[in-house]
Amino acid sequence: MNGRIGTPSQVSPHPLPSPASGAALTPCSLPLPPESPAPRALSRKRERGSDRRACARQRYPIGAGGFTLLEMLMAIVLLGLLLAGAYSGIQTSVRAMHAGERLIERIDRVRTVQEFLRHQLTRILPISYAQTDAKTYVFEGQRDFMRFVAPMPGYLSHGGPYVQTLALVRGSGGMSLVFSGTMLNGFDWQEEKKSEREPVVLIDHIGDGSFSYRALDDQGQLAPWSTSWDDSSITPLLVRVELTMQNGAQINWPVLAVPLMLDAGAAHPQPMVIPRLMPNAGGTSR
Amino acid sequence: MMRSSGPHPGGQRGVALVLVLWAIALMAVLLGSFALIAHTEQLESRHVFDAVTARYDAQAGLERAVFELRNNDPAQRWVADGRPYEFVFDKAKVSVEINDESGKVDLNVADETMLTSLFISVGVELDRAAALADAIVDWRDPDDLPRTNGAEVAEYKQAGLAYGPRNAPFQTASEVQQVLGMDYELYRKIEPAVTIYSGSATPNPAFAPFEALRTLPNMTDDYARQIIELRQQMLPGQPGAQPLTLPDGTPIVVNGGGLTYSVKCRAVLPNGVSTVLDASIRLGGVGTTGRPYTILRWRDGEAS
Repeated sequence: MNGRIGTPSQVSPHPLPSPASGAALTPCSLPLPPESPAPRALSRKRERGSDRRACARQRYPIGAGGFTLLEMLMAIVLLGLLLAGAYSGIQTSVRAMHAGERLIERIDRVRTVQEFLRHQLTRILPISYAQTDAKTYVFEGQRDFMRFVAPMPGYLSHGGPYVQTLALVRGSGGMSLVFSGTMLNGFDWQEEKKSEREPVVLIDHIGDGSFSYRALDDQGQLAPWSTSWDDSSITPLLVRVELTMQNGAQINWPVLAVPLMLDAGAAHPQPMVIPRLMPNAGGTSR
Repeated sequence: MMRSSGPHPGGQRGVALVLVLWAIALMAVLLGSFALIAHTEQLESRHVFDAVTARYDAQAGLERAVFELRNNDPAQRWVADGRPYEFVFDKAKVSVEINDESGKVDLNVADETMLTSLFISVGVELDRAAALADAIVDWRDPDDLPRTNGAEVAEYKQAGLAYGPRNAPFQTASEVQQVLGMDYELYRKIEPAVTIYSGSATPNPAFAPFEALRTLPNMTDDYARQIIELRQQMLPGQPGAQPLTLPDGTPIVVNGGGLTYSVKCRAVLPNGVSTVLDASIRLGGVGTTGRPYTILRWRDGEAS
């Protein structure tokens, strides 16, 4: 090909005194000499390209030069592949990291909630929050609902006993465990006075769950767990919270069984209840 | 792109290597931060585990206290005047302080004078102390007539509170925070000195903790500290070398304690994790749970 093997002498009509001298630049900036034939645009381009190459050779005589299109394409493709590889690698690791972080967050949440529940449930006070003709309400317990009186953490409240509820509420994204607390002072069971703060969702994405209760039977022996608490005038000995998380939640809820530390009848002026003497006092569990 | 033909100027040659290095650096940063989070999480789990262990160790302290308080030998019996007892339980160091509740100010029985000096002793100025004392009496008396500085329903409404006084005795000591003018900080200060279980109008100086001793007439900090120091040197069942007296000369007689105690147990694990259990118990009788004592108040797991 004639364009490729052009030498400075062929391109320029005027031979240069020395290829390394600064004067070598001048001919390159000049248009093609008029006497050179220009039959088609393509060949002209080629010639011009070879011109440049030749000029470059002149400028960088140690063999520096441009790239062919093919070289450029290959370089770009290779670079693209490398970048894509690196990007996807980083992307994967970021995703993995986020998944791990979410898991840690969930674990943290479960731990905090369990600690909070334990804190509240151990401190359940045998104080009645409502009274009807037939019944005194100290502790209500069902499969998905619990109401009791206990102190709140000091910084969260005005102190003193609070009527607190724990409920499993079914929503669109599965069940959630909801907590609310209202000051016992002025608590009206019938009208459900609005609580000081909004009910708090402790944990969500629950597939299924239940509360169960346990007490001593007539013989003074531990009775089996029961999902309903019949005698609202006394507190159970143990409360258990069992939750099954949804599949997507990626976490398990360890069964939480909490002993109630404060003895029933302790804060009442009436004499203490002794289960062995009073057959029904230990709580009747089904 | 061989060296021989040399189309690359020197600087461009290692682009792949640079890229890979960057990618590795980025991933290292990501991984490092994740490792940090995971490590924190692991530490946290570890701490929870230790805290649970420490909590049960502290509970062992409570059981031991009950046992020692019922000791048949009066010389060996633990004294409920707040002196520290220490023992090692399952490698944890457990220290137990028992205070007879009769050494504290009973919120349901104490009169305004007593309550006023209680507040003054923790640094409240006279006017506010008198108002708080009146408000406490108004809280527990059944009527709706406010005292001079006290507060009944109208005053609570005026202060923007959604509740009024209960007009009944306090059910828990912490309920005093609901009284008009009280706040959490002030409650924290008076907490060691108050109870609802003693039933006597003035604290018994033989068992009173520092905060309750301070409420007695003419008491100074130094004198209270001195009383406690001397009191703790006395051996159970024997009279002290010199009889202790209050500032007004009344001798302090070590008896008349009730059966209600507040027990403070602190368990420290070998690795430094500690927890405090603060409970009030009443000895005697059998509770529904079959314990030989009744738990009246329970506060645990509050790290300190």
